[in-house]
Amino acid sequence: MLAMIAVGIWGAFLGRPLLVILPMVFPVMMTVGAAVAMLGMPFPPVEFGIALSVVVLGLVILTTTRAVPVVACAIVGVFALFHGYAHGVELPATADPVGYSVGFVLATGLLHLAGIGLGLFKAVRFGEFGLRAAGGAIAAVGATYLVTGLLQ
Amino acid sequence: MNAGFLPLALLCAALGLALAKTPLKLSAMAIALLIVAALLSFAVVPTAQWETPAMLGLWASAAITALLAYLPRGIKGIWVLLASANTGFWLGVVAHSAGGEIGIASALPFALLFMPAAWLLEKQLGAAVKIAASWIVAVSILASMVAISPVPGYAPDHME
Repeated sequence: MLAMIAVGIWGAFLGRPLLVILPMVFPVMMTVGAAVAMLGMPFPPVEFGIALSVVVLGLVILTTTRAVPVVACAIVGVFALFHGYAHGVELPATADPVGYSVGFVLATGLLHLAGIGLGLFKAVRFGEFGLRAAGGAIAAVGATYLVTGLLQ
Repeated sequence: MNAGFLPLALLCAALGLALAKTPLKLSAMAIALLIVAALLSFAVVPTAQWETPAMLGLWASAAITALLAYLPRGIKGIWVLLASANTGFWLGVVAHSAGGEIGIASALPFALLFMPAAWLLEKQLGAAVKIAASWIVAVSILASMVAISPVPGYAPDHME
């Protein structure tokens, strides 16, 4: 959830066209990741990738990184694969796969929109500071997951 | 649990988004053709043996139709009629095997999404239409995978 919201906030920082492109890239790459999982193809450690995505996306907000569109899409796209893979592994066991697919794509999209909505606060006084602090907090949570995962 | 209402609704929603940039009169014709094509294919096409190919056809159509929303000038002329006839065909075929007439009737209103989508375009919020189209593409890819992979979730359960 933090990664999805972070994508929206980062998109709001980067402005157009990435504000629009990132929420399109993420769900599509997520489905690619889910397809890879359903085909039973091997993949790097998913939990590690998800935790790393939270760290990186938090850090790019904290540092207000101005990535060029290709790089931003690559970062978001690669991390989306991990999130999609995690969903894909769970999908086959559910009773209503189509409902599940719609649910997770819509939930992801709405979290992006929530992030974009939060990102609009950069225009108000201290808004950018608040958002960068939120980015730092997101990165810290991600780092906690990452370290916990590595120690287990 | 199987096809049900959601796939039919998403297919119609994809057509609605694709028609966002189409002139109103042509869109109205497209909706009329959609209804006729859906009823015809529902009545004529036997689908008992090929439910899975029908679902794949529906999802492929939904993805391709949703991608039409990305065309800078939208779809015009014969392409509008082709898109609506194709949508209607798959709507009828899948409804025949899974959704029934009720499925068609409940899904058709989603094609009217072209009206709010055109309004969004007018307000310079066309990005929202593209984002919604990308969601339909994503769901279509995923649901196609479900249709072709032998997963317990897609097999009839104790409720059927």
